[in-house]
Amino acid sequence: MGNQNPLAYDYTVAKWFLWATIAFGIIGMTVGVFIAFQMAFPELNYLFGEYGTFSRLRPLHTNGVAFGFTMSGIFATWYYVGQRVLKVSMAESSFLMAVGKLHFIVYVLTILLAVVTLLSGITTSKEYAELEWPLDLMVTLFWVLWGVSIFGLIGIRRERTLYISIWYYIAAFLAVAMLHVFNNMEVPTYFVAGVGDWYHSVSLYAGTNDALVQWWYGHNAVAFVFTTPIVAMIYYFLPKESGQAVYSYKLSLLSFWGLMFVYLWAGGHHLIYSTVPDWMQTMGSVFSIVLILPSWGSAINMLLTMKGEWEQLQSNPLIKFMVLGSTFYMLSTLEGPIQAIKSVNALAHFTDWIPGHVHDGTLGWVGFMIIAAMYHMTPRLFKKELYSKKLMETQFWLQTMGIVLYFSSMWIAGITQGMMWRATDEFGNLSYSFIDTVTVLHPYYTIRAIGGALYLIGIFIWAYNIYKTMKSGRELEDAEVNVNKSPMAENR
Amino acid sequence: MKNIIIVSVVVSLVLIGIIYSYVGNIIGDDMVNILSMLAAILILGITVGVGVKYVNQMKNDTASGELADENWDGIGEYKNDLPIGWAVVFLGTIVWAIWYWFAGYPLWAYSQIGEWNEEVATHQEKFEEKWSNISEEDLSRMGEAFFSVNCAPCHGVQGDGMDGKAADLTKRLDASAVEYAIRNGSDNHLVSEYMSMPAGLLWNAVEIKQVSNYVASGFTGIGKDVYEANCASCHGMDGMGIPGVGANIRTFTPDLIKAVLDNGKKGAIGSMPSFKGRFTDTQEKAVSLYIEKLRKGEL
Repeated sequence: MGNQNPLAYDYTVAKWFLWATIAFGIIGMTVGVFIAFQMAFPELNYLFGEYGTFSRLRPLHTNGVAFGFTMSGIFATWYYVGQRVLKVSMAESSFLMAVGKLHFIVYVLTILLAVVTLLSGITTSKEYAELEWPLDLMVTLFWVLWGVSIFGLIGIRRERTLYISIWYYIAAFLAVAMLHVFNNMEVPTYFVAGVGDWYHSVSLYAGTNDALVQWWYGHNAVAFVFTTPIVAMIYYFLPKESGQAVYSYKLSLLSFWGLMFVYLWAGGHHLIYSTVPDWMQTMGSVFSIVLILPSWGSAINMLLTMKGEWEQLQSNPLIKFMVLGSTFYMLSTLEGPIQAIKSVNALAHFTDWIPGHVHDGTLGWVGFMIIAAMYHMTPRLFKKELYSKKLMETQFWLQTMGIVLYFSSMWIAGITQGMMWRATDEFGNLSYSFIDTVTVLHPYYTIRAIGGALYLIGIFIWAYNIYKTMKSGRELEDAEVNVNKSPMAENR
Repeated sequence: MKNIIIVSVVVSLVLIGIIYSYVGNIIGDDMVNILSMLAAILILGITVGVGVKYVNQMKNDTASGELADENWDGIGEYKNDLPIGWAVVFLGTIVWAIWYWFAGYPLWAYSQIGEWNEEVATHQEKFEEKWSNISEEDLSRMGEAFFSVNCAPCHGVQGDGMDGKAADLTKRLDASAVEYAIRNGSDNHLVSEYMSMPAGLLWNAVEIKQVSNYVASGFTGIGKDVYEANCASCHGMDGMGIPGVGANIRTFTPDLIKAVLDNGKKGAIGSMPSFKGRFTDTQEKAVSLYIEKLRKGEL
């Protein structure tokens, strides 16, 4: 099909965010692999003094991959997909262009400061919301700028109806804005009470309330950073790359509103069997189960879009990334809800089954989708042919193997650990001490780290492939760019 | 890509197999374990099963339907109906949710603490029934297992109190404990509160030292006179106690252990918390025997 009347889309900001995606991906995942090895070999904690300890590096890993890698990927695709499905170029509005550039500058500055402060041990100690109040204000600023960009571009659009991807970007924008503001209600201690450093703060909420707000935030950060914007990506890049029409408009509509209504309730499942009121735990648990279907709806819609396209799946590595990505999306959105059932949570909570679940989603779904999206965008952004198809294939299989090692080791470790913690002798006394479980888990921690390392190698291949494309990829004519299948060097 | 189905089925089976090889012997009849194992199988089974269905459609089906009028950057949309299986299961989960909230575990009535209390009561009852005719040998093993989980964290695996972290249970009392009781009084709640030992029955430091050493060293040494003149009237000449009057301060008795577990204990080292209601009578009997054996050095 292709674009009948190509506009001169301006991809400046998209390019910037593409580089940020690659850079933060490398940083965040390298740290991740390192701390995975620390779990197996604790001596690695002592290599770099206080800066090399697990406790310093873990927030760097989570923030690096979630708010560095993933968010850059979201923004990069927004500045690409947004223009194309709204049929309007950034170049048409110098205001939106300036907003986009400022958005990038404030964002990168925030993330770099996040790296520095987290390494220095400056943290609010709320998981995934570790950044202190000055940085939270910067996050708010770049988020508002993104909002201006979204609604500004929508305001001057030529395409009357908003495409599905746009709904999901808007959902991500609105929900994260609300989550960020409410979970980061902080009291700067120095300015309020003259206590502590000027950048230090404490939460406005206390005790159980703080935990509730924290996990309402924590879980929905997964929803609106790792889910909705990634769904936005697959709804654009899979039909685009394959040239297939989306299977069902109705299914996309029902899945979208189902997800919107149900997701915000589910955070309570992080606090099952805690001091949170029973009815809220029940809501969290039950809505998690209902959530399976709206999640699967999008994945099924994408898989059915590929009906009869087996040939493409075999020959195009980008399609492989996206189809396996939606399958991992199904796996993790079935796994999470089942772990949220109270009786299963009684075993799964606090075990390695949970990081296993998280990485099914982040490595298999988020990572694969962003990798594919960047690969798809690169030839269009730089008018160059992708440097090597073989490297893409190698990367795909290495990373798939990495994910399989990661999730199977964490399943084995988690379920074994959970059952050992519960095991009792014939008299009802606990059979194992904590160290017994650690001994059993050690080989699986090693396997997990190796799985992570394979995935990281894939990330380096990806970065190299895109770098080589920019440097020495074959120049493309306009006609070669405006096709569905991404142009790639078939023999290299 | 062709063999992806076979590979994922094999990987899933191997995975479940490895997990089972670890936990097969500890799953037991614990519902949480059984449900979790079932959960693992369901997650893999459903995902792989549904995945296979769609892979087959990619291989054998063709895209069809009426296209919508809109088109975004070349992307079209079919006006296909919802996949029926998806819609039915979605409705099913909604019906289940309504059942859960209003009938199964009503939002206004279900309480996790209530559930826990009921489960514990049922378990304790079964436990007492199962061990109602417990043999000496089982009682001894039960005591050891009980001690290592519930007592050893403070009193040490050997029961020696880990260098003063907690009371040394390899002897009934050490000298500092006796001295503390004489100076501060002592109440094990074994006698009525008017009969409990008041502070200051002895005031001479030398005498206190002597009698403390006498009791702590197993009723030998120079404090014998002081003991017999001041302590024996309640605790007995041999220190074995007088029911309703004074505690046994020579050996551990089941009464004493139960009283300390119920009420906790404040002594020279610090405080032990109360464990009231946590254990059954059989468990308390078992651990009493075990602690007395520790004292006698029979282990």
